[in-house]
Amino acid sequence: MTEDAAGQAPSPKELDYYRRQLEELAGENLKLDHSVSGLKSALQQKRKGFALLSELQHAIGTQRNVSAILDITLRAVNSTLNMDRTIVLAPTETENRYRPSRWIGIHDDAAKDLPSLTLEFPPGFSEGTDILVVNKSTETTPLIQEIQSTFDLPFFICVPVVAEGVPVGLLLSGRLREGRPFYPPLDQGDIDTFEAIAGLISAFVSHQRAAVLEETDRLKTEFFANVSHEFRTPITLTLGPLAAILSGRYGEVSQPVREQVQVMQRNQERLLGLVNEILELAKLEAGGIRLKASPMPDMNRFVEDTANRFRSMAQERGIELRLDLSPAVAEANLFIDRQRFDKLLYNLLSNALKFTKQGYVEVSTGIEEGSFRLTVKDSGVGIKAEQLPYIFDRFRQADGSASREYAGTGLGLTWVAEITRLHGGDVTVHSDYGKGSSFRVSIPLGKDHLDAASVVDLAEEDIPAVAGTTEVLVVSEFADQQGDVEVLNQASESAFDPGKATVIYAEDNPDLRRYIRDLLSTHYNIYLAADGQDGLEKARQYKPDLILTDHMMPRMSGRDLLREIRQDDELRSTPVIFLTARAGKDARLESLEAGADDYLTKPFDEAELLVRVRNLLRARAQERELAELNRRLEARVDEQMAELVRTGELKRFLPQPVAESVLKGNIGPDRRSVRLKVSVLFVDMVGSTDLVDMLEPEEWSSLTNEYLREMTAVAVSHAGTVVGFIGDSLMVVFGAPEPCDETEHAWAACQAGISMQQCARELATAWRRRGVSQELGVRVGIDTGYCTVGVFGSDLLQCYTAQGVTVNTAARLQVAAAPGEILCAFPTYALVEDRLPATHTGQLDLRGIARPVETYKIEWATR
Amino acid sequence: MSTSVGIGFSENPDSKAAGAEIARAATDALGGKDCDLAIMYSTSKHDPVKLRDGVRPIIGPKSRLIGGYAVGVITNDRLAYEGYQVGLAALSSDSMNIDMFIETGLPDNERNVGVALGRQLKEHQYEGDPNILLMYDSIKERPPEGVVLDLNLATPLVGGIEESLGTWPRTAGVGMFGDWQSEPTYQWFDDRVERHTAMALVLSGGVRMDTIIMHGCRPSSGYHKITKVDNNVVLEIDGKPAIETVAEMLGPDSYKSWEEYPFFVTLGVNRGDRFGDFVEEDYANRLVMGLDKERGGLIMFEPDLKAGSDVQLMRRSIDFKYIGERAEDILSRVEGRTPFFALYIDCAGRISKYAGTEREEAEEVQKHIGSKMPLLGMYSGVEIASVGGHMQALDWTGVLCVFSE
Repeated sequence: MTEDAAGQAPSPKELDYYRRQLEELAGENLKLDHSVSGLKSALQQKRKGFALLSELQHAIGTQRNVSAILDITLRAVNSTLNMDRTIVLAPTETENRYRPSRWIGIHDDAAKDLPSLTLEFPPGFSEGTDILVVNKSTETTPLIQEIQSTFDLPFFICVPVVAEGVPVGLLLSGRLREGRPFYPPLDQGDIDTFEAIAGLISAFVSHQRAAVLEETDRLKTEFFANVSHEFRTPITLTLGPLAAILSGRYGEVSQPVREQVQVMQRNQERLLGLVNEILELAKLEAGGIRLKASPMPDMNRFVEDTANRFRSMAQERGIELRLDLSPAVAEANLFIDRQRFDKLLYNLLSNALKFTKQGYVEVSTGIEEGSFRLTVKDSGVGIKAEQLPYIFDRFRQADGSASREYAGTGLGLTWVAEITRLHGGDVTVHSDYGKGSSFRVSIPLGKDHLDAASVVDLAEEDIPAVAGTTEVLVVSEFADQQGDVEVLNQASESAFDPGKATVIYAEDNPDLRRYIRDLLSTHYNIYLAADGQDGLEKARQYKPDLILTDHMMPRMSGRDLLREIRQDDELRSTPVIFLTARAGKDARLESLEAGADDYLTKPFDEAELLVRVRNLLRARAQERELAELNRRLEARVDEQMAELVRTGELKRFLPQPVAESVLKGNIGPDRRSVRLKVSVLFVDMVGSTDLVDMLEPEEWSSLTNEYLREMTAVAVSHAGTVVGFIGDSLMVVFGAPEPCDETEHAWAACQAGISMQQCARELATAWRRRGVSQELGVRVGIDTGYCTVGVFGSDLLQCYTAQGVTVNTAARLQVAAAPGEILCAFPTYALVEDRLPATHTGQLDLRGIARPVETYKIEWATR
Repeated sequence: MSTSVGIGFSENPDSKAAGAEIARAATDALGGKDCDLAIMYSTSKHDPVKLRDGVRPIIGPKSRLIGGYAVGVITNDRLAYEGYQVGLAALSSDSMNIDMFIETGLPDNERNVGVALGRQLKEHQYEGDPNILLMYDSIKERPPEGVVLDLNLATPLVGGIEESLGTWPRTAGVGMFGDWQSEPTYQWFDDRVERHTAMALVLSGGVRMDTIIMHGCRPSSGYHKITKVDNNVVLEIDGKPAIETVAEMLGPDSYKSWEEYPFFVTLGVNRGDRFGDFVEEDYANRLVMGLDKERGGLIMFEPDLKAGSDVQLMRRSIDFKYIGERAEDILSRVEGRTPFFALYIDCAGRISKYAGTEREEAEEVQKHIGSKMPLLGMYSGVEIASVGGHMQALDWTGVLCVFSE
């Protein structure tokens, strides 16, 4: 104990004072330490964030693909920012739904289901405006709960990565616990860091995208140039002999042969023209074309001459072609490459006339602010506002849809833009959709703006004549396409043979139309249609046995025609073959999704087309025979059904859903067959043959009935109609007798398949306990498509079932499946792919099925 | 007679690749000699099986392997935590004997496990003086809400070992855990991947382990008497609920509830002169890791505070100069011998982020020790070393072990 200066010991009060002061100081110190520690911790987290950004920036600079960037980010975030789990969610095909695509910090066992999951986020995440920070004080929402349970991650931050308005993914990162001092709540500092990371990735993706686009464009140009060159030689070599044949060099040519050769010549010339266009454009874009600009003393005359070439066509179409040429232009000091400028004006005028059905096309010139101005204005269909920004892009038509009304390559306006650019000018477009468009080209006067090498001093006699050879070709595009259709159809009507099937062919290319007509007319009554709309009208008029249709046609596409056919009570069962220019999976998608019975890709083999048509017609004839048989049975069936309804015995003979519908009065006992799109499932038990031999009949019977009972219950619980048992195999139809949406019945069939597998597993376990040692497994096959559904049979036995290729495919897929597997064909997969994980197992050659079947294995065991 | 040591460090998130990386780096330094012993520490972000599978082919089938999870790893030139850190020391020796012992089933059974492990240690015959390195799984299970950690306790474990062993040879120990989240902590014992074990690595045959303790606290208050205790929960101090006493000490104007302070409030027991100068070795510091709100008690890391003990509120104070001096001190102790390896058992609470220091105190160890011999360290949950002649579980402590021959 110390003494004070006077040598006196401190009093107890004094001691108590010091003690209290000390204690207080101790408390203050501790609080201060805690506060400093918290700040240091936050500061360190921030420093780590900066270090991470710097590290990422460096790492990203050396990477070439987004996947590598995301992998680096995952590792760095988890490691540097003291996060336990970090996940990248990639956008799915469904808007605002995201799927975990990569992650770190989740053990393999827990992660195995992640690829099959999707989560829906508010649109703000796809737009890049929303973020989500969840700590202990956050009010929970269903989305937060879903994220927490999916990733077992209670506290997290989720930021979107959006590049140029397109969602790249979501970055989700978080911790298992929250609590000071080691795991302070995620806060603004963390948000800042994650937003910076997202920004970094976004910048990388944007940069990459721009680089890729640039490279693609360069390659495309190169490709066009190369391919065009390669095409010219064989085309030229074809045109020569064709001309020689027509000239009679190889002897007299009969009229039918002459017509065919002329078709070939015409189309080869068109192809050559197109190839030349592409080649020249590629050269232009690659800087391979130099302007030859010379003084243009009378531009108005030049414009008038070019416009006059369209005058007769305008008159023919009832369109007024107006010229409003300013005298000021005549004195202007204008340098123009005549040949190129003629092409520019030609394209503007032909476009204007092509897209104008009535009214006028006006060409005007003027001098404004030191520039020559050329305007081509029309009262045509106009261009939609959203299409205007792309109107000068290569191969871009204002209406690029399959049902666009106007044919063409989409190069015309690209030429306009490129030629204007070469002249140092600019081109603008104004359009009022539905009322017309106005293209305005502006070229600076004088030659100072031109590269010296682009200016040539030509004598008047050296000036090349304005090219006018393309007029005929363009004018021919405007020929009345409907005309030959009606003439040829009248001929078909005159030659109608009731012993032949009737086929309608919808196609907008006149030559192809004639070609197919010539090919099929010896076997069938063939009627032509100029487009989809015409095809629908002709189908209603001629009630064909089969329709053959192109995909891209004016007014109504082949796909729309198909939809109309399927919605028409009288026509819905008409088989349709789709002709498509797409190849591979696109063709299948386009055709089968649209509901076509078959498809052919262009160019197609004549023999193949004939076989396809014949097969479908044969199937149709069989269906008709069946229908006829059915009609005879119907009276008997109705009678029996009425009796069964009356006695309550119906359920013994009809599938339960059908019987219940009948008994409830939803559908009458009159079960005429109809053509419906349904999903068909086949399931059978593998290993049962051995059991039959091993077990007593009573035992086997008991097991089989138990199996059939359970499987039937599963099918019924998924709204399936069990239409038959063959031994231990079941056939189940979804989407009939009461039709439902195709996605609904395809989904139900797949779900039923999964439930059947699960049920079989449980049954096998139960049977093992009862001493049945034989390994049991079930195989499931599913397909979706059009079938004829109804009551079939004889006077002695009838049953409600489905018939068609879809049934055969499902049955064959079941046979091809291994025990425990569910195989489905592409049409089923296409309807459920967003919701159900499946593995593509390739194309299977199935017995009795004409073409290989794209097959998918539904991954059910992990569900 | 010579022992070679190599050290490997990795932050590769791929566990198997990380295992291979550290093993390769460590064994490369052995100059072509076979690896006899590998000591490995890793954060919980790694998969223990994949790590082992990455390491084993490279250290060879005969090498012993021991180690477990840690919050972070320290080597001669690397120091990191909370990420994918993993470190390994590979030892090759023609003079050192290596023995390893293991007992499982720690939770709620620490004393018995200790007794069994002590028995194994006692019954084995060693050539020369044994040096024991204890390693045990600190994490019992995920704690209930409001409690930061639910631990296997070191005090009864150490007591159990002592019961069988009698006199302690040179010993140091580590309570291991891989993060503050209470994720499962794994241990490697040769090819076994275990949880809830207590293991002992005994090096003998001419090797000697010297240890020093580095605390990080100074007393900041007068003495207060603990008046009621239940196991590791201090229920009353000065006759009042412990929570109230501490709240009074901290004052009413706390900027926020002091209940947010677990892992900050530390009580110290002075085993030396109560009113003399501060002597670090005389203090055993005990960290509060949670509050028993129902009973007004403080949940301590270890159950060794008894009713009647006088405790002081401790203030964190890591003196960098002092660490350097202590490191030099241990080097002077091994003068005349050849130090070949240093192991630093460093409390995770001493990490700068949590301790509020400008720098990492382990950097001082790297500077003074790492420059002279291979160094492997880990951030631990509990440290075990001799204090005042008793083997003691410690908090907030760095225990530096230097092996020499």
